[in-house]
Amino acid sequence: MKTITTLFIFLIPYAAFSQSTISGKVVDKGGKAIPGVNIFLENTYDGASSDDEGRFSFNTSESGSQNLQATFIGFKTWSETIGLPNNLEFEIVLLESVNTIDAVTITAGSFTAEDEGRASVMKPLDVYTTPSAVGDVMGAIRTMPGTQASPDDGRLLVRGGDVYETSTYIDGLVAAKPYYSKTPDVATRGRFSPSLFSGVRFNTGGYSAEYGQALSSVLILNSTDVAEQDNTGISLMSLGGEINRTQSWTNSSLMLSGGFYDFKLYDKIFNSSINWVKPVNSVNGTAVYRLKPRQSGLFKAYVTTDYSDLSYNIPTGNDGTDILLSNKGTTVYSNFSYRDCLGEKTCYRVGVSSTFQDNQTGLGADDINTREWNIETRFAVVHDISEGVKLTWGGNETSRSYRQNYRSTNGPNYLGEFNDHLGGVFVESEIKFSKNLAIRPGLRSEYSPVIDGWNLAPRFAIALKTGEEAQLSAAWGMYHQTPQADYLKLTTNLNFEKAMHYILGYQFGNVSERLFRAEAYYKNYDGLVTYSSGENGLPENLENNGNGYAGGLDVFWRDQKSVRGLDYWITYSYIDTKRKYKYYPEQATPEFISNHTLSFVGKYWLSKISTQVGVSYTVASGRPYNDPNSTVFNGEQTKAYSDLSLNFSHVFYIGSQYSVLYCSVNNLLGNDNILSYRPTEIADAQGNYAQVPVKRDLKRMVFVGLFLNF
Amino acid sequence: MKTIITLLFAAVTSAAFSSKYEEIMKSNIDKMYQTTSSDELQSLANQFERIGNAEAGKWLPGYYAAYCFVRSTFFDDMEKDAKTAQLDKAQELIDGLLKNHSNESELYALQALLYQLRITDTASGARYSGKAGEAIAVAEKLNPENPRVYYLRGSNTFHTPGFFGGGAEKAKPDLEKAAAMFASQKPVDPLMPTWGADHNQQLLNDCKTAE
Repeated sequence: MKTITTLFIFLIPYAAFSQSTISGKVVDKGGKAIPGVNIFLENTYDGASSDDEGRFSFNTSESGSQNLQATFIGFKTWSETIGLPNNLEFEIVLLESVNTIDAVTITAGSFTAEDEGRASVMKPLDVYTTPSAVGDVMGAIRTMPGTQASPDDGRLLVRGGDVYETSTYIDGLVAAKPYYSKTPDVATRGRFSPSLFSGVRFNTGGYSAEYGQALSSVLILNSTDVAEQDNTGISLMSLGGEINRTQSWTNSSLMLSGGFYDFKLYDKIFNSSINWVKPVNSVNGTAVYRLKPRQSGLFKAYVTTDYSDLSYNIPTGNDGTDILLSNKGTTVYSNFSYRDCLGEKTCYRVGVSSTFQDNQTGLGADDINTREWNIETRFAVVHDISEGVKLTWGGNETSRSYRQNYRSTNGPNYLGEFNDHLGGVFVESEIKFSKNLAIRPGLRSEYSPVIDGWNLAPRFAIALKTGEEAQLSAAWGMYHQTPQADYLKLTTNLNFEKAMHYILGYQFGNVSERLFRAEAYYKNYDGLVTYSSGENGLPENLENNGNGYAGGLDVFWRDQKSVRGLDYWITYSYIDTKRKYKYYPEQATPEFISNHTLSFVGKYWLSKISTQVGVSYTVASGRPYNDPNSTVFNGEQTKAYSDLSLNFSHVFYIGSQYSVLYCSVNNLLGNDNILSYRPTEIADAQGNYAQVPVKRDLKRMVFVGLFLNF
Repeated sequence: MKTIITLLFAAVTSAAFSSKYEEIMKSNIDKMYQTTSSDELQSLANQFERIGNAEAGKWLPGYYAAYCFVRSTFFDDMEKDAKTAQLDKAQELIDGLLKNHSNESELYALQALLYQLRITDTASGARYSGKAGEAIAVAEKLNPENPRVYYLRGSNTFHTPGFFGGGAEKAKPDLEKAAAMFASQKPVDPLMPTWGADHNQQLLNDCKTAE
């Protein structure tokens, strides 16, 4: 009997041959038919695909409670429990998934260079192939709208903001000294080699609550993953040399490199406008380690150190006397980060970065030693709450220790120092209501013990897709920054400097073909540090008394499609800004501002000779300067500035790896106009103040490099 | 006695299901190789996905579903976004399969093909041909007798510009090796993949024209 029962049970699947027909139609929210949808009973073979009219029909011999599902790329999965056998008809409405590839992305104020990603406006390779950049990340970024040409500075000046208002992050961790030390009259450049990065995100405003301590702009550099190939690289350049070796294993890789730069040759060949005693020379060493312990995890370590030395005579006034300015220093930057996921819905990033700098500046008979430590620990957690809803939160602790020893041979000695342990927390959510509408509300709060100040910064961004390849975006946010070390060393009785951003932008097209972007912005500054000059040249009466505004329009156009082999972009920036800060007696346009900046970058690939030709042209309207003899502050204006640069990169290969012969000429036309005037502090016998004109240090610069890989 | 009968029936039941599996798989695989319509491939991918859902331990249904999505990008002049969406869908399936079947050479071969199809310009070329190369290396390690290993490597080399170390001449040895293996190997399991031979031959012909 038992056997019979068992038999009976096993026969049931074969016996129950009652058929059901399940049919219907699949449409989207607007009632439009969706073909190709997979409609099926879960865990069975039974199902069908919808036809061109969205119709489907299939038979099944299953019985009992079953789960009917409908799935299709770009749509949320639909499911319903049904009872069988039963003939059923459905009208299935599939809702668009908000995570599709063509979904809206928040782009207000952000320019991205990535291999993938629709918000990208540049590719990482563009850093190398932009002539005016000369291999400097910051140089390539300066061809983006919203930046000043600043050929006499070399650093990023964004939307009316001073240099210190831009913060640089590597893999989410701050890089406190992204540039080589800046000395008067000589332009500087970025410290980090572009070959280390696979993506760059340049935020000109309205950026995420994850970042603080930047009034104007955040530059985010994302480093490369585990190297996939062993490689030896040798670079021979007209101003130095570099050698590097990459070793890769299954889940890890190590890169070591060392190099030196010496501008002695340039000083000899080209007539430098600087009266060099010791032209810039530097040595550097870098180690990069990557480890992928598991599929979702990645550990990155990056340590770089450099030593640089320079000295030159600078004119101090119109009496013809020069003083010797020298600068030498060691910088060590390290960055350790780990990211991983806890399951499918939660991922995290943790890391610590540190910058140490010991800098020795000589100014005539005075000797200034500055030692700085900046250590930041940071974490962030990202939750996928539900489809289209992402929540990110995290915190950071930034320790700073600053000590400056000012020794004057014929004046008082002076010691300025301070310590800070800034703490920050943030929470931010990205919500996609549909694939056409996304918002990003966020909140950031910081406490800075050194000034005993606390801030709360709400931020908000929104993006609305208005067509297949068109979108509108807007952002608003409050931004805070602890006053600069140069002020904190004198007094800690200060408060945060503040800025409020309003951004409205429109974008059309995509970067691999044609892309147009226009963005209008307005910024309000408050609490900027002001001071008056004291007797010994040090600032006095430091207060958060300044304020100002910046408004403007940034336009970007890139076209890689119209002419085969030609890739070009044009940017135009208009800005109107005034501020009262530093020693300004009243609101005035700062001396680094050109109201109009136009730049063109074009690249053409000559496949026959494996050579790329690049051109960049920048023209900027005159900048204000102050004539101390005039009653109007910053009331004068220099002439317009322009620069035409050319480059050639010839690609060839040794074995399976490619090498590049590179040549660039900057300022081909040899324009030698005055970029600005540096005021002097001492009046001559007649009571007039002299002004020192600032020009480019090299009128025309030729760079040749051979980059070998094998 | 009871146990024996139970076992016997269990065996019969699973054998019946198994043959149903093989039958449906075989007929779908044949259809898949014949069609050049991306709509039909979509519907076949759906079928393979359904089979994959029902047959939890097997990797071939999911593999073919992924291959259908990959293959659908060959036809109908698909737009870039649509192509990317199909490849993303295939990638999702491959990622899922690799979790439990990381020793299947064919999965890595398909992964390599998918990477190759993501190449649209020089920048993505450098990136994805590197990734494809890695996947091919794993596929070779797992099964050096897999002809798709040499076909894909040859194709990778063939499409790499000369100044990056590619070109017809360098691709030829791999393509020839693949052609010999495609010709000599008769599949033991009728459900195992067989794609690649035609395109391999086409590339070899292109090599000869290039000479």
